[in-house]
Amino acid sequence: MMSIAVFILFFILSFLLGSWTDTVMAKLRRESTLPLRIASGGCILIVTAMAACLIGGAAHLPANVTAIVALCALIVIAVSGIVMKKRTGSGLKVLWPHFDQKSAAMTAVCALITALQVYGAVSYAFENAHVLEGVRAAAKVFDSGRMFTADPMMLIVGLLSRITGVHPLNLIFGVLPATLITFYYVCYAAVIFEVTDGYKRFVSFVAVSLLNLFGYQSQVLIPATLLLSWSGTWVFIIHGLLGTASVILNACMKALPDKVRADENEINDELLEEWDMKNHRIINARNLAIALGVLAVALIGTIVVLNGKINSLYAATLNLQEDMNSRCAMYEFVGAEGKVEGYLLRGSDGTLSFIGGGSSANADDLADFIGKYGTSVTKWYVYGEDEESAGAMRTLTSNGTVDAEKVFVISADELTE
Amino acid sequence: MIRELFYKLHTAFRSFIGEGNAVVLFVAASLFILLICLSEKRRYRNMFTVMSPLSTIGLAVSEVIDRVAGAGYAKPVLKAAAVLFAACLSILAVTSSGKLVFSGELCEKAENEMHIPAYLVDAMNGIPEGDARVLVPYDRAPYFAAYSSRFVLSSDILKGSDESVIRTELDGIHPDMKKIAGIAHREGFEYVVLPVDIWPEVPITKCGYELVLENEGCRLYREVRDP
Repeated sequence: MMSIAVFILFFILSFLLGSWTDTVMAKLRRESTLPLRIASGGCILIVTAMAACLIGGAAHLPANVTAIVALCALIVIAVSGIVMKKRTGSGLKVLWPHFDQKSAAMTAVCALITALQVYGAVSYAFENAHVLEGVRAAAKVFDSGRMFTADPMMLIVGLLSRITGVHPLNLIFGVLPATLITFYYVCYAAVIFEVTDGYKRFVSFVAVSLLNLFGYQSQVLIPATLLLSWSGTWVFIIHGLLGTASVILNACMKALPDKVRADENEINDELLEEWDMKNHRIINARNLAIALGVLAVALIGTIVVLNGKINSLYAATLNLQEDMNSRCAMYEFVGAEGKVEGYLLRGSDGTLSFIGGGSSANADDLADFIGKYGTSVTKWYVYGEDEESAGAMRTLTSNGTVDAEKVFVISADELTE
Repeated sequence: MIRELFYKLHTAFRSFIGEGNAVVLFVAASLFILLICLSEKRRYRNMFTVMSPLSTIGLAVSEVIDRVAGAGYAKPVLKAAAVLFAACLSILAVTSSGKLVFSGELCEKAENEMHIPAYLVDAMNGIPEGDARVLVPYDRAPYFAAYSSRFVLSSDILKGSDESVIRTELDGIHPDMKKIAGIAHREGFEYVVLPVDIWPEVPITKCGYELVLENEGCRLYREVRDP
């Protein structure tokens, strides 16, 4: 229930705050779209909350006070945005002007893909604990009730958890996935709607979804991987803020004044003429671009091949040490005189057994040798009771260097060839 | 020598970027879009789209399929096959960009809403209320830190040779408990959490710690103090 309530509240607030974007786009003589309004509104909401948390953290304010400050700021921004929008009279372009069967089907498929990812994020846990690296800041806010300087998104999570009484981990994995993952896909929709049209929007959305599902790279990029760190600051920046900002910057670019555009057209015509003349030379811009493209493909191919080889080598050596440690092994002990004086057996369960040892002259070397594998020998077999056969064993066990649970004497008289 | 150079460059690149393919895909997508603009002799007015890497790749994929679909094929079957081929190639390029986020190797069904293994939650709840200094394996430490701020963890306290010793010993299956217990006593760690899949020569119960809790995933030990 809480996740539904947070979802509805977040998107309503985003819609209201996004009225500023309508105003800005109207000034740029461009029309705003619904995804852009919600995406930008959500970014404004999160940035405002971050700012309030960072200010609260710098001043070590209680969480409740910080929440009130953030709420007041959001209300002021939302109300002023709506007032500005009414004054400028900016419109809102409908998502799809003709919402036909094909558009409805594509929208439904996109919604289903998003919903499945949300379900996966809620139901499945990543085995690498480092995805939780930043959550300790939220846990600290939750436990102490005070803000401090830390990752801003985690401060927001901590603030929400303190207010609602829900543990930060329950919030991150139970309540926020539906809201945040859907929000980031709305941000992608805002970008895709701006740069493509028709069925290409659907293809682009599917490609972005596949990248999020298959795009985990390395430990370093965990903080930026959407389906692993949706509550993180880097995910907000890369998957939300940058995309939304790119739409507005593209709009600014397209809104260049007419005079500048006319001059630009004239320059473009001159450049085209020059380009046409240069086209007849062997070394010209087109041929250089082709050569560059071929070089880039060769470089990419080399990297892919090398990457494959490195991956296979890494996979082969991954468990090698652990595998070696878990097997039975035998080691040869060479005494002071350079002769083989005994054998150490290490079982797969880690227990040690020793055969031989020689005289007490070998005691120091034998202590170093056994010490590499442990300090306790379960069974020690010696070839006799005399100094020549058991001297080293007696020295090490009597001075406590090695702890022998059982010692067996193998009488040489009983050994026949 | 050039091969060694490429190897070094790729190793450095890979250690930072990981698989590296998604970044390569982004560069290829950007180049493709640039080539489209050059070939159509127009200025690309959506240049800021490159700020969103995944959107750039998505845009390039849609352009590839659109251009293949728009090529002048005589027969519809050929056209359909070409579009299907372009789509498969794009899907292959995209899905090989990294490891699966959802795969048996990397994730499993969550045991609880917190996404913390249940055996660790038991261990954490087994430590009485109040601040507690806990020595815990480095790969489990983030769970403790995320669960509660009352745990003062070995991953935050230990530096230098002590950190190296703990990491090395707990990475193996035959850790030296005397060394671990020595560091734990010296740094004042009242609790020690150890995995069950280790076989130390000397158990930690002989080094001044007593077993408090044991479950299928870990053992919780508490420092023995004189009454």
